[in-house]
Amino acid sequence: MNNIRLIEQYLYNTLAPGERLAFKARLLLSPSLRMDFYFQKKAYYIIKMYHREEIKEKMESLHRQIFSNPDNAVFQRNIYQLFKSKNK
Amino acid sequence: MEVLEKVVESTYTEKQTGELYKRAFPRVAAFVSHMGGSFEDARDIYHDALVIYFETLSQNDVEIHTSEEAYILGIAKHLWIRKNKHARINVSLSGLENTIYIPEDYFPTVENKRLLRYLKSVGKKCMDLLRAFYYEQIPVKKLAGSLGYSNEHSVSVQKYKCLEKVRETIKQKSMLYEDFFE
Repeated sequence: MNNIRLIEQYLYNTLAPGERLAFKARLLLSPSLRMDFYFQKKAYYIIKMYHREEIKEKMESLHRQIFSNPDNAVFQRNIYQLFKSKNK
Repeated sequence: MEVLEKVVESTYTEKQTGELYKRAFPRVAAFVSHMGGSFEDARDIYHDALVIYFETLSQNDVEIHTSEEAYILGIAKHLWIRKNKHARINVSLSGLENTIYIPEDYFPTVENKRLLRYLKSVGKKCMDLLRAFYYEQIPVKKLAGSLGYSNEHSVSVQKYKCLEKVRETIKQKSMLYEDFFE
């Protein structure tokens, strides 16, 4: 598993103080560890992007559901109304 | 570390999310309409505002001193300003709305979008596992069951394997179109 777990523990602040210090020292000394560190942070960010995208997709399907359900006719009309008067 | 902030959808049930959706949309729609935007503009901004709202809720250090609708409208106003650079002067923000901010990393770069698209096409299973692990508050035990792993330990092993795969893919791809070395 090489350094992946270690980097995660460092980022999550779950290393013991001594280990943390040792990791920081290794980070300073090793360009390849620095590179892994950089790309691992980027990996977390991409996962975050993915999560946001999935939530947004959920909202989009909720939107379609709400705007196609006849039970919400009044709600739909009130919203559409806001945009109708604008197009004069 | 900002990248590791929890982004959970909070504890809303599907029904509650639907109710919130209907409750907060009219104000956002009225605002966007007032600014001259279309129904589609309102919908898009609203969805981003909800994503950001859920994310805010999941961060323990943020306190929201207003109604959900007002807070979501505040986020929507900021989004509108961002999308329409000249709108700053036309949008009036209340004191409270001035304290709202949109996460700086909310609008990804083209390069990161491309990376995500690629990772979804070659490793959706891993991406799903990682997302569930980091962002959905599903206990690892349950996660193991739903993903078909025999126990918690194998989920954890698999998680690191996936994370490594994602990291290595990003590394490879980034080397191709980015002069990364300083």
